[in-house]
Amino acid sequence: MIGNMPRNADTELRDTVISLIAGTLKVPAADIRDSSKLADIAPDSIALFELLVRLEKELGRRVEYEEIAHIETVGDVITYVASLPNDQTAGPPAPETPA
Amino acid sequence: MTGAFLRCASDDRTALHEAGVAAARLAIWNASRETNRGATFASISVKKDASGKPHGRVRGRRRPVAVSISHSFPFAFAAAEAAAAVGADVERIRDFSSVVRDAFLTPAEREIVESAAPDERARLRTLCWSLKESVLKALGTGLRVHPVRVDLTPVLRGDSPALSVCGVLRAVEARSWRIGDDFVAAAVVIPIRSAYDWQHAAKR
Repeated sequence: MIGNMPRNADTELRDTVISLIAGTLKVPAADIRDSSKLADIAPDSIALFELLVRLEKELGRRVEYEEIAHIETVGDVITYVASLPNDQTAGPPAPETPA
Repeated sequence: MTGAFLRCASDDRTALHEAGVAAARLAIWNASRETNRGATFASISVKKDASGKPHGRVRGRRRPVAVSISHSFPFAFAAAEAAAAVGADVERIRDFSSVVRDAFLTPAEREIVESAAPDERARLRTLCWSLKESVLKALGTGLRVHPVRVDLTPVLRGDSPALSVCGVLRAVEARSWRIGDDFVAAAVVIPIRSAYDWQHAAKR
């Protein structure tokens, strides 16, 4: 069980995240394990950023960029995404005008 | 700021990593010769701090040299700076997916890119990414700060050597390079001594 989510929701979320990772990073889903390190399967930082943006868009959850330092593996991504509240307005922060 | 590019014969991760370290030592050597003429290539080493950020050491010198390393096969690129924070990035020129370009560029940056000749837009977008990544590496945050919060507009317009990060305008030294038809690189120097300084300044 991920966090306090029921098992069906766990499985559905896991499948969605794995499918997003496979599609974005161009890795066969069958090769992705919870222990797979993002640094090993992502070709570069642009691909990692695209993954974060797609996770927000597809799952409707706002990623708090300040909180992602601890994310190293696919399992970390699944756990982190499961901990985020739904936010249908999720998307990039508004650009800031210098004071 | 000094920089060094090396071309790597193999796209093996270890080989690219080693080429990056060699490029870093070259960049540090050039940076340190400005202040320490006796420095030799052999006296320079590259170490990582607890967060994984590299820095250079010159034997016999107490203060570390800021260094930043990037790879994009076949290139390894590094920039060094003796008295400020530095970030560097090299990227293959690409057409970003619309999802990514809408997310990382500010509306003003998008306008500047769209006003360029069509065959220049992919290069300009990639350069924007490279500059933003360099800024975030210099600050030591990486993607913990969303790239759209780095506003390159003054640098892209050539108005001033400044850009804003999280709404705070910062003086920078920004340089960029075009490598053949397929790659761009950027390096940014920010006059802070460490990400620790910046994070504390941001809280004040």
